[in-house]
Amino acid sequence: MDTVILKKENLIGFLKSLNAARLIAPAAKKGTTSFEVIDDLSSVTLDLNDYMASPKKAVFPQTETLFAFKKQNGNLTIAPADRAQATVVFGIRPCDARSFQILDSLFRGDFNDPYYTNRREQTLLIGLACKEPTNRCFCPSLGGSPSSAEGLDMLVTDIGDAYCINVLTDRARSALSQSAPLLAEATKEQRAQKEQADKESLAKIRRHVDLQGMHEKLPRIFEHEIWMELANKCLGCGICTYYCPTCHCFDIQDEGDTSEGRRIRVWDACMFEEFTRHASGVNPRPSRAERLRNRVMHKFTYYPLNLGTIACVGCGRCIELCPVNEDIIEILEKVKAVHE
Amino acid sequence: MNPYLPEKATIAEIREETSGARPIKTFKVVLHNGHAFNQKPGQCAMVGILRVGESMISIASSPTQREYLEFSIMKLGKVTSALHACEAGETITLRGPYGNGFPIAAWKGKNIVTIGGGIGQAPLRPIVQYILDNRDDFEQFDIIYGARSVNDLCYKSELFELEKRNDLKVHLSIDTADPDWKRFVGFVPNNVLRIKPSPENTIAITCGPPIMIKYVIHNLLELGFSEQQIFTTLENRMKCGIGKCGRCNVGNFYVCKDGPVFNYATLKNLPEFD
Repeated sequence: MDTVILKKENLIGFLKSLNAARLIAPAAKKGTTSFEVIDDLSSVTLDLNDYMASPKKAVFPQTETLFAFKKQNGNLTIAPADRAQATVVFGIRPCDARSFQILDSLFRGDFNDPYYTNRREQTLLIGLACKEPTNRCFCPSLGGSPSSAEGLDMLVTDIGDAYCINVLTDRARSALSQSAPLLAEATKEQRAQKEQADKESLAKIRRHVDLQGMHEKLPRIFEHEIWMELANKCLGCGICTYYCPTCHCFDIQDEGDTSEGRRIRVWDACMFEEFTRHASGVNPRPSRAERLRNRVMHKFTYYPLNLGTIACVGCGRCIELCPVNEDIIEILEKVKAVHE
Repeated sequence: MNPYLPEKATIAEIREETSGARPIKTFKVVLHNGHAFNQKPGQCAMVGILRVGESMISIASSPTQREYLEFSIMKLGKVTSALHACEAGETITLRGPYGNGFPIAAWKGKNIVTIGGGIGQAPLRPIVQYILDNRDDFEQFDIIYGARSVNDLCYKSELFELEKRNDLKVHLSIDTADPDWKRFVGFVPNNVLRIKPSPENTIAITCGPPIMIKYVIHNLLELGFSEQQIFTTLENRMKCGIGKCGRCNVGNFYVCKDGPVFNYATLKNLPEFD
């Protein structure tokens, strides 16, 4: 039973049947939808189609404790943070699920990051195929699609009167052990409806960028004045990094006093001047031009060189949210147009 | 294995190397758990004080010395200032060793010349000690080292002792004349040109202020050294030490894990190095 049907009115019952210790799903909040830890299943909504923040925080929280420390009677103890809870992320977009795979390559990498890895192992990903891609979406240019199942345990597709669910992994099969009464094997017609939905959503993608030769070209135009031009309007606010599902840069800070406290990890951004500033005052990336260049090259050259994949999934959030309309597609097009 | 969890260590001894606005102290540190750090020359460690933070510091003691680690630290930012305020007996934290280190095993049978400036002698010091502990593995050994003034020279008494040995040559310099200084007066790159180390079967390792490194490399190339014969180290701001936090990259290399040691043939092609 790898393609099943869930009646729309049974959504809450279905979520209940998953028995997740922690459920993260889109819920309406302040006029938009965002991924929240769900206490009340009726607050889950799949109707609003624009999830501004990715559920990256499910595996890589914006702030997390690495360890606590305590000094008592001259004895210093260091206690690592608790291990992660079993979590179901419901409604993750296919682009965001792919971003988890991109983050995996970094955090698993040559030094395993136990905090990320532990959360990732505890997290089941149930995707929701995009019915109405936004006017900023360009996932097919990065090898994705509004209905991509890559990196997911299950993929849910709205086929009008019901949800069609592709069960993709053994973990998904065991998670569904209590859900059987709510599910029915998909008919041939329903499968065809899903295929039709996939086609229709893909046809709604309006933006594209051809990345052929990009990772090789960027280093060749490293010194080009285009970076000054591109960075001219950048405010260095960092919102592109905070909403990017693949951005992973972080800071480590200590909190507390000399007798008790904790070391935390918090998201940081390569667009900030202090990010690379040495204690001596020297800064290898002193202006926004160097920082913008590094961000683009990190995603489109360094990540492919080091980890074999572009660190962008084409979600277009950076385009949507930039207060001065920096547009990553325009940046890449301008890079392509530079004569060498 | 949790790479973010530091180990506790006690400061066994603090030696003042230099004084002034940016003083340098050498901290002799003993790990609580008795683990050997098993570092290679040129590797680094995250030295920290809980509640203040951590700094990536090169290990200044030899891997052949297993009882303790030494770090020579300039007082500059938040963490290094807090370390300078520490006294012997206090507990600090260590993580590591990090980085690639010098490929010293591959240098067996070669002449070695280390060229240091200021605190840049710290990462070179393990090479010196390693070679002295394995003296028969290497041919001629030259230590070129300089600082702005006599007061700015690190490891002074140690280097003055090494000067007396006949199985290596020590060439010390200061930038500006001092009535008591009988050795070379001038910049380190100029001392390299004066000494003229032969490039024949030689590895040159240089570490110091960026401007010094730039001219030392220029002069070594002029003396006939190939790019592959020259090694140096880079430094950048770091937080994680394991190539994840994203700030210390030079091109696609993370200085914390892919460096700090770079061969000049690699380095000169990196976009951000000039």
